[in-house]
Amino acid sequence: MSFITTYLFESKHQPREIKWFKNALSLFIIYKICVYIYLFQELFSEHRFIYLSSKHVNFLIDSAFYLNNNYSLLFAIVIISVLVIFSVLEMINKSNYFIRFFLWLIILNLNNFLYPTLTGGDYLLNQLLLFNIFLTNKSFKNSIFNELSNVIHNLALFGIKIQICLVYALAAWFKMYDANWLNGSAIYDIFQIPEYSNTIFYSLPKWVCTISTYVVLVYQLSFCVLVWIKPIKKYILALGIFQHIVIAFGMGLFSFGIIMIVCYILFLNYDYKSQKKLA
Amino acid sequence: MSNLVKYCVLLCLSCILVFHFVFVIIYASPIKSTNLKLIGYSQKYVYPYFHQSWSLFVPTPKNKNYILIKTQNKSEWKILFPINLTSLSKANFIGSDAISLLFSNALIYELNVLPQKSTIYNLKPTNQEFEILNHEIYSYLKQNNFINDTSKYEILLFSNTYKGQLIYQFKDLYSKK
Repeated sequence: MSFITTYLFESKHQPREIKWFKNALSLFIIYKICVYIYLFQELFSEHRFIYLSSKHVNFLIDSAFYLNNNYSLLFAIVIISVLVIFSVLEMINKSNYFIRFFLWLIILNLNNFLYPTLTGGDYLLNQLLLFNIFLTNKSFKNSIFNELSNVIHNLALFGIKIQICLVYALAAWFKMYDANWLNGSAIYDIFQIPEYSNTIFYSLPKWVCTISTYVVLVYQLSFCVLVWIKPIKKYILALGIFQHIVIAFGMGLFSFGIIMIVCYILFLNYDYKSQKKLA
Repeated sequence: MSNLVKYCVLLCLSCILVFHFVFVIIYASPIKSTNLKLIGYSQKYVYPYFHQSWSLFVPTPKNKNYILIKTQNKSEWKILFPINLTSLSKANFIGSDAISLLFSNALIYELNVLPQKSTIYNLKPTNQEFEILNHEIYSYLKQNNFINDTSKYEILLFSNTYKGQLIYQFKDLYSKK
């Protein structure tokens, strides 16, 4: 038991990976902001495509729908501008718990406003930003605060990893109930739909699609176990990166593909290796 | 911090983490338990702050759906959705996936409530699904200056299912809402 408390309270784990992860996450948010600006007319203007629906339940729930309930063009511009400032502060490591909390809340509000355009990547971004509130490489002078921030940091880091494993496990669980995934025809069917395909995928032979379907199914089923086994982790992550690049650039679900690759940073263990070398 | 305090802090934080993920699993899993009370609690806890859905491509999309539009001053139908394949794949990183999903989702929701036979509607339907789809199409036409405040337009929804083709035509839709 004392080993666990020492492990969790003494120091913040994976500082290098956390730094890379935060940088990648901030860059991803800046990319999202660029998309919002590029599609401003379609998403936020007077003749926006988004159907505005408000939600009034109680203060707690309404806070997640603040943009919906109080929408105006000016308010949208202000929110996006604040998002730019906060994500830059997060990238240059000048953020604090307060800024990271509002970063999460703003993205949550924007996602609830843009609900019909969301992909799994946007849902995951919300969850990553939630745990990111508690991730920090900074130390406090007060030892009690420092130990508290260490344990919260380490548990939040563990929380993100559990969340990523959960994504794969739940996705596989759903697929186990679908006849098309079990008989191997799912990917072929998906590639026949113009929204998720391109000229190359559309003409892929059926047997390639069948193999791909089973590879995806086995990968999603086994990810949450295999990713913790050090000797095979790099192969698992490499296969995952390949899959998500195909999803991002081939199937057109760019945000989802990229955010999943960003998550893989936390499964690296450079700090562990460098500590081992020093020892 | 004494060891006892550390144990207590660790126990509290671990309980929060376990509680969070148990409720997320109940909320987002494909098996809906018979314990309705538990589902209710999980929905209250998870939505909207921790909402997530991981049914990724389940069920597998099988229908090829199209939206065609015709404005008052034009005689031919124009394909609005899906967006041109080549331009879509080139423009994913600038958010074309978002616009594509916007039309795709609204179209699927509307097709789900339409009858399983081709139909012509001379009056504008009043259901919420059509209102959302019509809003998106109207905004598209308005933004691209295809219509003015008083012009009429028509919508054709085309669904190519494994059972056959279904076509729904919505006539005499006015710009003025």
